[in-house]
Amino acid sequence: MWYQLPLRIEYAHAHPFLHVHANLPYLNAEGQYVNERDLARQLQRELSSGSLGASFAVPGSTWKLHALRAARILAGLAVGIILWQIMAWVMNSGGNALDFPGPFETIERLWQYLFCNQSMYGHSVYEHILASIRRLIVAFALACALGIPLGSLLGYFNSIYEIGIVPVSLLQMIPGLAWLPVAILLFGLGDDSAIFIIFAVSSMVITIGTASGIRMVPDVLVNAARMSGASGLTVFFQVLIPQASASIINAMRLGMASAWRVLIAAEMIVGTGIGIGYSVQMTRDLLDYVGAFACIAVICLVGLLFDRVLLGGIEQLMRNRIEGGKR
Amino acid sequence: MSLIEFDKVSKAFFTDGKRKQARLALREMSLSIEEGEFVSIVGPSGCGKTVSLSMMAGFLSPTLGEVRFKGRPITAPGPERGVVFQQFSLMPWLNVGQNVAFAVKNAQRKLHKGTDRAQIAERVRYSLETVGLTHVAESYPNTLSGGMQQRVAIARLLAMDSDVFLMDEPFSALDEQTRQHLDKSLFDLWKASGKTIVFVTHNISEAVLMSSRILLLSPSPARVCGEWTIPADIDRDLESPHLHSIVQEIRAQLAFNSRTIATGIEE
Repeated sequence: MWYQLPLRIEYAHAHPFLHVHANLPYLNAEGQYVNERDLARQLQRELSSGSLGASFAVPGSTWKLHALRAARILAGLAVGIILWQIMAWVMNSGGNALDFPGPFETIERLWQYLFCNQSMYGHSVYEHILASIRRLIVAFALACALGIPLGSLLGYFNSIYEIGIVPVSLLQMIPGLAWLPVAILLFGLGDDSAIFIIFAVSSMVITIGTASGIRMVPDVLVNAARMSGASGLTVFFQVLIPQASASIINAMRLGMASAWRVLIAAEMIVGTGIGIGYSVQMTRDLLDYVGAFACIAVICLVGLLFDRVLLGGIEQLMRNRIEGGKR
Repeated sequence: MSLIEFDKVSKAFFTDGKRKQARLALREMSLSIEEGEFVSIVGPSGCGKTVSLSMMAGFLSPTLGEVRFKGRPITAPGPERGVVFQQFSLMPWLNVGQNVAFAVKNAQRKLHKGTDRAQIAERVRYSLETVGLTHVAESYPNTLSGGMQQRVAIARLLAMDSDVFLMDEPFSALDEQTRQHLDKSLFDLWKASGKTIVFVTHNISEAVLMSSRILLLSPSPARVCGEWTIPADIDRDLESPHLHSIVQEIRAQLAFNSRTIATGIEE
């Protein structure tokens, strides 16, 4: 269920290297929702039936849990939308020339873009999204191709770590748009520059995350493999990489998130002609603020989809695998 | 020729990152361990028991002197010198059978013995049977108790067919009952297999119950300062006068050593 995912993300970020149990305390063995009241009621029943053993099953319901989680997430969204509406009212009460778009206008416009095939500056919203995602995927693939091997090297060899960590950390400090002059010098205006900027930012994030994941592998696992006669390559590929895989996926998620953020900014300034960032830029130039807000909503939705559903799912899978194929 | 030999081994560590100070952990330690012995190394905590075991395993090299295995200096870890660690050391993403098989494969490859699948499977089966864990071969380490995990770690060495089992307080993280049970099984295993075992512990009765020989290390910097041999045919019962007196002797020696050190500091 998609609305279960945010709970996992919160855990994963708080303790990226602890074993995280996706099962929450109020789930019984069948994965059904139970609370203290259900427990007390069942205990009363068991006591009065007189057949109470050391343990007993507590029946619960699946829909209650899903309803509870959905209600909480909707409540969060509702608070956001109410604050937004209040802000719009306040801003528009002063008689400004430009209307501050409220949530309902924005949702209406978004609806038109998404389902009524309304054109956004020459392309449908899906064409813009696909163009952005294509750039993202190309840049992200390149970033992984550099970041994971480089991070692994840094993590494995102490001396390489000492040599490499300072330049990598320095490069990571450079905000995406500050790469613009470099990008323009190397690739000129256009697609390649946007891809370069995204690559430059996310590859460093992935490198650092991968290196620290490898360095966090407990010594005792490495020593256990070495005493059995494992070669350096075996230790690397069959101990370090599997044990660090969840951290590496987590690094990729962080890399993806920063890639997505810098993608929009890059599209806004390097003149790509198509893409969601380009659309935001156009709406601003044409003072179409409702359109701009709709674009921002699209950015949020696509980013969320990528992070939570795609990479979040893979990360959970890896964690379960490391924990020993549970569930 | 002894199986393991320490020839005036000294080991010093830098005490800080600046590397201006060093601390001596072992001081010209000499000892030898013969094939088929069960040698326990006891001593006050922090005295260098684990350091000396790590040198036998090949994780650490001596600063001065030489550590030899079958007459050759030890330079790296190897499957002929298997280790059971104090911490749980199974790969969490492999099940019990795969964990043992992983070690066997590494060992076979290292010793250029060829990695025949059926042969590996047979070794895994045999070793898990020996430690009585055939029924959990498909289970993952996180579903096992601490005692079971350490038994798998022992099975790993059996499957690798290590010449010597180096055991670094393997049962100290376990509860007392489990520990006594595992002590008994290890002792039986040693009797049956004739392997050489080096067993680091701070528990003197544990050492006396199992060993054929006990080495007492002095407070840091360590050297061997006492040695007791226990006859093979003796009844392993702490109530028996002979074992009881050995325990008392070791305790007295330990207490004496720490007092000498204490007065040394006062002066």
